[in-house]
Amino acid sequence: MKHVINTALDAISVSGLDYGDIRVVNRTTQNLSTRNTVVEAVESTSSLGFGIRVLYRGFWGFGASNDLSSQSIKETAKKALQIAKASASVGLKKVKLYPVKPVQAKYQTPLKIDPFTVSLNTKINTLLSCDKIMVKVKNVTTVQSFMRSWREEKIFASTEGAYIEQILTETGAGFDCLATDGKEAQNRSFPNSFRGQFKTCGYELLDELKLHEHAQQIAEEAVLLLKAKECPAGEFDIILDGNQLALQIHESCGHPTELDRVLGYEAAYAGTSFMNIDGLGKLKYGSDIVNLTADSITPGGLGTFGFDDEGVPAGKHYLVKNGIHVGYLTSRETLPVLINKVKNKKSKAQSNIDLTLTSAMRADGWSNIPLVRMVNVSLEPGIWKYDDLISDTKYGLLMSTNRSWSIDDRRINFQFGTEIAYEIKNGKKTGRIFKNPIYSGITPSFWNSCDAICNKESWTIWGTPNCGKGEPSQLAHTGHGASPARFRKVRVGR
Amino acid sequence: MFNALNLKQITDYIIKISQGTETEVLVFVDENALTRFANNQIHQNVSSQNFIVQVRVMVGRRQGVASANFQFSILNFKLNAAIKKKIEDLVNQAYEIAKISPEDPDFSHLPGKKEGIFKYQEVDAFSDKTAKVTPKHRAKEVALIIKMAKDKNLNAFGSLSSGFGEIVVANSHGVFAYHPYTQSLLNIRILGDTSTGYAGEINMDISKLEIESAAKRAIAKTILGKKQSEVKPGDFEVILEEPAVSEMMTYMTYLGFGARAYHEDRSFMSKSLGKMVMGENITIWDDAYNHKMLPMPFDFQGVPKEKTIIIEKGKAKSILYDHYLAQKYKTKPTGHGFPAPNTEDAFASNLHLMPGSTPRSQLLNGIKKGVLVSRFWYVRNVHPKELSITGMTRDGTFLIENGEIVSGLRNMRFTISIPKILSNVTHLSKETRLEPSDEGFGANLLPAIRTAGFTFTGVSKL
Repeated sequence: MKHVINTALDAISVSGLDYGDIRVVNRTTQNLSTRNTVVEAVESTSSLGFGIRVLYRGFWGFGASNDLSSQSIKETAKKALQIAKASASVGLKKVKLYPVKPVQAKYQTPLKIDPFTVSLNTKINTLLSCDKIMVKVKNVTTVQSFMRSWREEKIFASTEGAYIEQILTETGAGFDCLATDGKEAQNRSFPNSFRGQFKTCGYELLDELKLHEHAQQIAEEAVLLLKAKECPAGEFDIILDGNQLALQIHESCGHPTELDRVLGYEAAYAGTSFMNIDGLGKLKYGSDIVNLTADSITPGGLGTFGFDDEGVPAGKHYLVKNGIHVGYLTSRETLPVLINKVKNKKSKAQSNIDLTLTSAMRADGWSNIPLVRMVNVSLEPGIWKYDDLISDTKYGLLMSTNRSWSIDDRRINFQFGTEIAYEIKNGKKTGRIFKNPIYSGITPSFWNSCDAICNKESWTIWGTPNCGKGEPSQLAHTGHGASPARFRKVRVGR
Repeated sequence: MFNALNLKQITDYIIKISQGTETEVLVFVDENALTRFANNQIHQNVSSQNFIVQVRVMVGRRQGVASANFQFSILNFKLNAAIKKKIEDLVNQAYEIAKISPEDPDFSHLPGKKEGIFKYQEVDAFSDKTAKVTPKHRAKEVALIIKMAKDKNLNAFGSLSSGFGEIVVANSHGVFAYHPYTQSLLNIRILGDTSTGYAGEINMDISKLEIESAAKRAIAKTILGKKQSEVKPGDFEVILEEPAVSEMMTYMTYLGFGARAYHEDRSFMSKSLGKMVMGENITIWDDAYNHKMLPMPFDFQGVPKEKTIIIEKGKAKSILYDHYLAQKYKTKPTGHGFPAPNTEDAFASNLHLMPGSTPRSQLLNGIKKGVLVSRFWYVRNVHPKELSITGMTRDGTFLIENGEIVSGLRNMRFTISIPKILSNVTHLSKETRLEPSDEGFGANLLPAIRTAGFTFTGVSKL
């Protein structure tokens, strides 16, 4: 690929160029799914191409192509420069990039078993064995099992001298089932909804998940939900299971701390943020025990890598520390804007804030520009043992596995639905379950009502492989570490 | 453009070398560009092109699918030895997958084997103006929007995109369907200190986008909503403008109109064909041949699209089938298939809602207290069978009193059942507007509606 890189860097080296980079990306995936013991999809895909990003006289241009011939690279570079000139014609403020030390480096996801070397038969049989268990349960009408292997090999090179090669590998799997009785339809999933759990790792994930050991119980729960009572409405103490809390973190902390949203870059599409710069270092986002981090180093996280798509090395940063909003997900373009705004409003409260690059610029494949995206945005574990948390709850609802999610464009007014709620009474799970649980709230009030977080024993890093943002729309793969946590007096019901 | 003859070289070669009992080839060629603006300036500006080939090989009832993009463009198109080798690898990959996949008892054959050669209606879906538009042209149009916003001391955000592409579906039974198309899309959001406004436009011909008029609409909404008030959550009579109606339509096809959801008892239409499922004034159909929309004469399995009436005067009339589901449930396909392997459902991408007789400007008349909703945001399904959704209002929520808009409202959360809301419609505007589908594929042609019993469950704070 050296010739592609060199041709591109040569082609954009024109007078007036402030900065340029090229990413060559080759993505391969394998998707498997079964439905009612029949193999529904076995699909293999690959996509190879490059994207050239130029900052010309302070304005951006980007061109991408599948055609790696020298002629195409030169044409694409020319197009990127033309686009940058067009941007300049409707430009006000020139972009200034935060400095980064250019590095030459390599990174590869650590894995024990390469998922692309495991035979299709083994994978299919794993999924079918789950289907076969679930489909035997009376009133279960539709069962589906899923598996995905994903790999991205990419090279990043910049006009500043960076040259970084990375190979990232992900594995994911899960199942769900639908029970119906003619009137009602209820579903359950494992280990998470929307196709299961995903990690940066190899096929060893399947040993960890032990899918077929849970199939019977999950299918029976779906059937029990048909006859279960509607989740009661009112104000209740709720415990969110880790898989639901992961999405809560994603929507109500991850997105609003994306600095590009805060600066309005996403206002027309993904939205803005209530976590404005005036509140940095001051906003009481959550209770004192709430610590939320953005990291790209936790093993297994979908936001784990060596370098982001601007060549910034992976690291760990606090977004919320002891309940106070202290940081954002940043990029080379947005960080100088933040620093400039903060510099003009120096105060005592801002001495604890993080004004660094968070390795959060990530692009979906070769054909898109990098945007500020979540890495692993996680809730640090607390001190509670899971059993102690249940014992300490007089009356509450343990809500598990997301079914629906909705949040306003400033990320403050949310409503989530889960697949199931388990009743807790006098410190014990009663065995009673409720269907259609929904809870809603206002982000800071909700996080300030958090009074207990389970410890590391219950902490898992969950994968979200479908985070949408940007125009043209891009999908990012993000990680969210969480353990079950309790929130007091939350509104439950529609 | 590659054109049909060049692309046929590829599909013919694949069908020729495939060892499968049946073979299907899809080719997707596209070139897209998008200019994005925020805070009254262009901040992102991109273009990309791609060429993807997807092969489905059947070995009896066993299926394998493989896809890859190819490293050539119109600059550099030759079916040379290297490309042939990559094609062979792709076809072999699909064949090897098929050989070891278990049989699907519900699969019978690919389209065309028993139906014979399909005839496709000609549609005009390509605009030279859109295909040839330059970054300079897009910047000029964006500059106009920004100037209009600045003149009113407002901030403009949004995007203007244009693109062209070619789609081919071919198979070993002689199916060869070719569709060249263009698309242009405008998204404007205007932000004021206390209010926001939105306008969107979609057209295959960029010169037919009413950019100035859209900017005026978005600006007017922002100004109208400047004075804000708040109402307590509850049930209201509402006017839902076209973007909100479009989102409901997309949710209906996503969760309710497809054969899979219907037969698996997950749809609000399940066991209700021929029965009233919404108000008598509601008729919904899919028509991919309407030249005002983004026409396409076949689906992604090469089956001709059929104009399909789904809801007729409130009664559930028919459901959508792709070729596979039609075989499984022993009926005819309606031409609503996605590319295989489709783990979702049959899907409509050119939905129409029958307009009414009320001029749009008179929809407010007689409303004592109500709410006008311009647009929904972050809509998610709460209960698939009830087709209950939740979401927020966005970019123009207004309080109506005594037939007039009296103030803007803070955005509100709602939870509604779509069939129930469409059972309470009292007025439909006689004018219609083409709205992009929220799923990013296709467009819907629809009126604004006035309906009752719309449940708001919360108000946005801060």
